[in-house]
Amino acid sequence: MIATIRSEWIKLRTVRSHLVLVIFAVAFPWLVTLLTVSLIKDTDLANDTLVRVLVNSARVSSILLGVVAVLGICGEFTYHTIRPTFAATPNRTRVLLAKMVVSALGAAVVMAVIIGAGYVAGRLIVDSRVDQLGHFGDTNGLIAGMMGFTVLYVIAAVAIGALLRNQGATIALLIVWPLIAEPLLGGLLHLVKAKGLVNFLPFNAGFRMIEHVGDGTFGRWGSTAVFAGFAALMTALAIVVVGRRDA
Amino acid sequence: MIEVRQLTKRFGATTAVADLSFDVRPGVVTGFLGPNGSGKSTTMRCMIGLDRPDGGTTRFDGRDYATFERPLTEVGALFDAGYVHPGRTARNHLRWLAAANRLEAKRIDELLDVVGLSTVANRQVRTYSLGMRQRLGLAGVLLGDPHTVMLDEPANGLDPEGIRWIREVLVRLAREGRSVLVSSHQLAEVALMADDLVVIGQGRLVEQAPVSAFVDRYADHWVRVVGPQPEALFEALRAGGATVDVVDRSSADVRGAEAAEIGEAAARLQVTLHELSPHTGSLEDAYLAATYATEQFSTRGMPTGQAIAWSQAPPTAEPPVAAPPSASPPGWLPPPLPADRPDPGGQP
Repeated sequence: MIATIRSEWIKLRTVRSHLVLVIFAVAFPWLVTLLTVSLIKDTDLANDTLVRVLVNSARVSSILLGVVAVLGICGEFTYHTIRPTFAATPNRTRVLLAKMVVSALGAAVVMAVIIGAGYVAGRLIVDSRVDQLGHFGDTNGLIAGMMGFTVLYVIAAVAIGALLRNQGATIALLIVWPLIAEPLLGGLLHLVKAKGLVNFLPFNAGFRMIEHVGDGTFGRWGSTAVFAGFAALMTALAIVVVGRRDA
Repeated sequence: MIEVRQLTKRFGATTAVADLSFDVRPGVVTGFLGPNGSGKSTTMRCMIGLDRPDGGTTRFDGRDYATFERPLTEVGALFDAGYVHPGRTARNHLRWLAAANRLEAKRIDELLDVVGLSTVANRQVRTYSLGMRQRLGLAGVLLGDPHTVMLDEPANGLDPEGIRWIREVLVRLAREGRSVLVSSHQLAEVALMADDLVVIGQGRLVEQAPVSAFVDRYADHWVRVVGPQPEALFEALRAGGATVDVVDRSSADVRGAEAAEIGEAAARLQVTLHELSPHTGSLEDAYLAATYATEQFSTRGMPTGQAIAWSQAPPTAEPPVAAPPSASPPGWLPPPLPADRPDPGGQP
C-alpha cells in the first residue's frame, strides 16, 4: 500500500495544472481575509470575525482541492493512464484507496496551511488595529469542521470521479449538487413538511460542519456522521464498480 | 511462458474473443496477427486483467497476473504509447511507474538512456512525437526487467530507423530467454522478427504455428517456367490439371504442379527451358489467405470503382473463402486466393 501511495503522490504533484489550482486555493482565502480585516470598520470587528471570514472563504479552497482530486482520478481515464496504473497495481481497491489517502492528506495539509498562516497574518493586522478584541468564539470547532469537511469532500470527489470517469461531469456534479440541487430539494422538503430529511442531505450536512449549528439539528457531530457516511457510501460504490468494469 | 486457455470476452451481444487458447514460448518472438476488430487488443488487455474476461485463464509462468505483488518485474505490457498524461514529463511518468513496484530510481535514467530520451526526459510528454512516446512506452515496459513482454502495435508512428531499432530490441529480448508477444499490422516487420505466429480472426484462433509453417500452409506456391517455345509444355500441364497463368510468350506461372514434375514433363516433350523456379508467397499473402474468411470489414475483392455501388447493395457473389489445406487436392493446389486479387509479388 505504501508503494501505491508513493506512486499516487508522485502523480498528483507532477502535473502543473494541479499545482496552479492549489496556489489559487491557498491565495483566495488569504486575500479575502486580509482585505476584510484590513478594510472593515474597527467597530465591526467582532471577536470571531477573523476565523469566520477565513473559514467561509476557505470553502472555495475546499472546492478547488476537490477539483484537484477529480483531475487526479478522471485524468487517469481521460488519458487512459488508468491502464498502466492497473497494470502496475492490479489490486484496484488499493489504487482507489491510495488516491483517496493522497488527495485527502494533501488537501488537509493545504487547508491547515491556509488556516494557520491566514490566521497568523490576519491576527497581526487585527492586533495592530484594535487594542483589545477579547477571545475568539468557537474557533476550534469551526477549524476542525473545515478540515473535516475538506477531507470528506475530497474523498467523495475521488469516489464520484471514479464512478463517472469524466472530469467535466464530476466537477459540475460536485458544484451543482451542493450549491443548487440540495438547496432546491431542501426547500421542497420544507414545503411538504419533511423538514427532518434535510439533515440527511449530504452536502447540507457537510456545510453544517463549518457553521454554528442551532438546536433542532443533528449538531456538528451528527452532520459529520451524515457527510462521512455519504463519502463512505460513494467510496464503497466506486470500489465495487471500478473492480468490475473494464479499465 | 504465457498460456492462454479458453479466453472469452463479450461486449453485450458481441463476442470479441471466443474460447481463445494459445501459448507464447520463451526465447522467441511471437507475432500476434489478425484483421482490424479481430480482438487482438482485447485479448491482450484480458490477459493482464485490464478488461475482465467472461471466461478462461491466462498464466504467466504458471501464475495469474493479479497475483503478482510487483507485476512490472514479471510482465511488461505496452498497449498504446498515448497512455501517458501529456502534462507530465517522461521522467516523472517513469517515476510513478517505478514507485508503484518499488523499483530503483536509477533504473529510470538507465532506461531513458537506452530508449534515447535522456536529453528530453524533463520535457512534458505533450511535446513528444508519436515515435518518442513509443520509446517512452518501451522504457515503461522494460522498467522492471520483466521476463515476459507484450506489445500492441509497437512500431506505430516510428520512422524506419525506429522500426528497425524496436525490432532489434525485441529480438534481443527474446534471445535473452524472455517470452515476447507482439501484435502488429506491419507484416513485413513481423516476418523479419517473429519466430512463431498466433493468428486470430473474429476473436477465434485461426492458426498458431512457426512463421515458416504458416507461410508454407497458407501462402501461394507457384513455379515460374521460362523457355523459348513453351506452348506444348503449357498445354500438357493444363491437361494434367495444373493452372497456367501466362506472363508473356515465353513464360508462365504454374500452380498445381511441382517443379520436378514440370521438369520431367518438359524432358518428355523435349521442350527447352531457361528457367524453372519455385516461388512461395510472402507472409502477407499467407496472412491474407488465412484471415480472409474471418474479416468483418473487408474491401478485398472489391474492384476499383464499385465501392460506392456496393455500399448500397452488397455483391451477390459469395466471397471466396480460404480453404484449409485438407480441402485441396493433395500436393496439388494451394488454398484458393480471391480471384480478382492482384497476383501477389512472391518470394523465390
